[in-house]
Amino acid sequence: MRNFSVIVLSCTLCALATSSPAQADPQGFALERLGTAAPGAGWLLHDDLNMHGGLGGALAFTTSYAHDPLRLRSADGSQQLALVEQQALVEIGAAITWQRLRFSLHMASPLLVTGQAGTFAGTTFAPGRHAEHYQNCGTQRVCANLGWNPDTIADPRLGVDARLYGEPGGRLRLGLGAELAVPSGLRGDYVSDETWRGLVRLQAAGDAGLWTWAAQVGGHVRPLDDSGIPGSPRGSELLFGAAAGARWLVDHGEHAVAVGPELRGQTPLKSLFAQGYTGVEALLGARFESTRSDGSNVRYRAALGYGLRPEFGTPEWRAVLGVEMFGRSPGLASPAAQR
Amino acid sequence: MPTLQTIRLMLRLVAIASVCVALFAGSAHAQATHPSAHDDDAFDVMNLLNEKGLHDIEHENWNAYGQFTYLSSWKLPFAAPYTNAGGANHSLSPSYERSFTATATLFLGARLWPGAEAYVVPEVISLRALSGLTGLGGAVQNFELQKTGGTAPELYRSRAFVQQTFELGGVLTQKTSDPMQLASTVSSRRIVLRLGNFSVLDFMDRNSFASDLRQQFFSLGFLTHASYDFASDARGFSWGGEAEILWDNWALRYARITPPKNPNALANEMRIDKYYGEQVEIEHKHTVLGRDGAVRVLGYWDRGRFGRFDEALAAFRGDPNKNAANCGERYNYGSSDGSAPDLCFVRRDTWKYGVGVNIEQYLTKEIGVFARGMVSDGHVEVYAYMPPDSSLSFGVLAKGEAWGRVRDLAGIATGLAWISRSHADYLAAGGVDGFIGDGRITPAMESVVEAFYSFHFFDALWASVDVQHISHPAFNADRGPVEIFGARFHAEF
Repeated sequence: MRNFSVIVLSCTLCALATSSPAQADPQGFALERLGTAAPGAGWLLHDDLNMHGGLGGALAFTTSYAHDPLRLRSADGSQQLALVEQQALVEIGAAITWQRLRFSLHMASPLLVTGQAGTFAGTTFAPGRHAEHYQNCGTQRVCANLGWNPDTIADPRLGVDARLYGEPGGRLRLGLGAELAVPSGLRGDYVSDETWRGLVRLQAAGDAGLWTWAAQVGGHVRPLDDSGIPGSPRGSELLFGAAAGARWLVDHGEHAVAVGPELRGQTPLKSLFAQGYTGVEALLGARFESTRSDGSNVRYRAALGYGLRPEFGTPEWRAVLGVEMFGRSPGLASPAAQR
Repeated sequence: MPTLQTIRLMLRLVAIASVCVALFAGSAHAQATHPSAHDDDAFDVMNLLNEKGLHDIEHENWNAYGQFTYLSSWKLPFAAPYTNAGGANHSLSPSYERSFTATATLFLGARLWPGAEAYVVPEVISLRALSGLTGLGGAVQNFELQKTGGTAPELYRSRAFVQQTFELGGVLTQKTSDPMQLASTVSSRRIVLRLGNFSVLDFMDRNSFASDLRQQFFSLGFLTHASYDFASDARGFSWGGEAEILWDNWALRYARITPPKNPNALANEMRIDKYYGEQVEIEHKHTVLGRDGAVRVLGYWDRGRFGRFDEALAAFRGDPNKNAANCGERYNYGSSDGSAPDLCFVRRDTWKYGVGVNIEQYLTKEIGVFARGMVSDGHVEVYAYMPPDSSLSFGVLAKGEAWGRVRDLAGIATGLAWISRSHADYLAAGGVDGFIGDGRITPAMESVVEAFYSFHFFDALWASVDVQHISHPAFNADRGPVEIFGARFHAEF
């Protein structure tokens, strides 16, 4: 019986070893880790948890360009491979708020994703497999663009955020959020895991006069594990981030300007904060908010990001531009009350 | 040329349509049918918000609508002396087959600034076509079928465009709140510019009785002219711009849009300066005996890398090695017939063009008729839509108020389609195009006769039954006729 157990254990270990993701052919994954907050949430990446009152809504249009979001580097820097050298996305988001809740939908489409093929640390990252790919992209590994991918929606996210503690405009608010990423798009374009993913997060935010802040910590549940493939994520991740800044009201409160940095990062649960798997990015952002007489408001935003630890999904640098319309149903609240 | 038999069939159809008209014309208590727009009292999210005082449905800054449609088709076995003769691969299977599509769509719209609107329309589709969407020319039985996709649901962005309106005066009219339309007051004279990702059929060749096929006829032959090879990707969408001038009862429209990189493929050719589809439409709305109607004339010309049928035949006859089995990496449709010509050898920069007329006319308040006819050049392969080189369709649609069911719909229509001599010669030699090619052919007009009834129940649900009789599938008198039964479930919210 004991021998049988040893055999079973040995076979199991062999099976696990042979099915290790390290043996897998590198196929790509959902690279983007920016994780924009729900439309109307105030910050670019964090929720200000200011939802309140009756029915409200927001629509957001955000474009981003990331340089070197997936560049593999050897420890001594002698070998490099820019698997994804450029990534430009356009994201359209919509949100509905009701009392303390915010329901959101994010849909991102690749405008441009390009990257090199090659061999790094013994792993070959081959160019696209189709004859048409060779014809149009040469030896590139990735060449997603509006021509090749005219209508991709990459892993749309359905989210809900709830303010559990604190009042709008108060010093401390606490909330919980969750998102479900629906598989859509191709791994080969580095825009999808082609599996369902989930995100949960604990959020905090507050205001004190001129100053405003937000923070979050959460988990990114992702079944795809490419451990062993250089530069690839290793299963589920811990997410963290914080933001702080100042917000000035001008023109008797009809307009507002806010400036402040945001920090975000992710690290795999398998190897918390390990070098080579942990990405940290800082963004300096500004936003201008304007109210309209008809009750709808508009917010313009811009941000520049820098990869403090530019691992996968964290580019060397990034630029983000966005416009957002948000407001309340007529008669429910004054536009200035909602930020 | 139409045979005596087909002329008889056409006369029979006209007679049937006339009887229907006569029967329905006896009831004059219903309101006019306009299925593509939501009724003011229909159940949908925006009406619900409006009723609760949470939304101003006459002056909108945003709106959101949705739909779900499931359509199933059952094709009965039919007679066919041969199928995929000689290694061709585009015959309709003569065996029993079932096809389906399921789509869910979200229509989001927002006002950006005065006169400017933005629309985004994500959509998910799951589908299975009859015989891999081959073997039918202009009579594909389900308008929702796409040249890409499968049973696994696929999410994509069908439309994302901005629209700017410049008012030029005239009479003020109210635009209602509808999918891809924000409610507002506009003048009857205006210029509208659109830029982005859309289907040219969103704005051109519209017809009150044969355009919104999620409510109306099932067959793709009634979505637009069957021979209108409008530039688009494999789903029917394009990038580009569209401009229209509306001047009271007149409208002039122009669009320049992207074609596919390869015929009937999903990838778009974005070099719109070099390859494109252009179309111009002029529309006049009129009243005859107090009933509304419209006439539209549409012309299109595509610039792209197309293959001509005569050149494919000549290439094969000049060098038998230029056969369908030898295409190698050249783009072709998978035929393995080594004794057949193929378009893969002769694609080059060239033109394809056509011109058509589209008429709609209310006969009573609840009954309308439509007709479309188009002639395309006939020398060039199907590039983005369907194989016919010329087409004619006509039918009648009736709303059910006469029999006490206000939002029921019933319709009967027929679609006729022809291919050119060079197209037929190419198919007779064993060639295949994007959709058809039995390996052999006795050329004939392909026709579909369709009748449907749509039951409205609860607030925004419809269940429909449908029957289609298709003669000479793929323009081949040797095969068919084909009987297809269909059912559709449709919801709007």
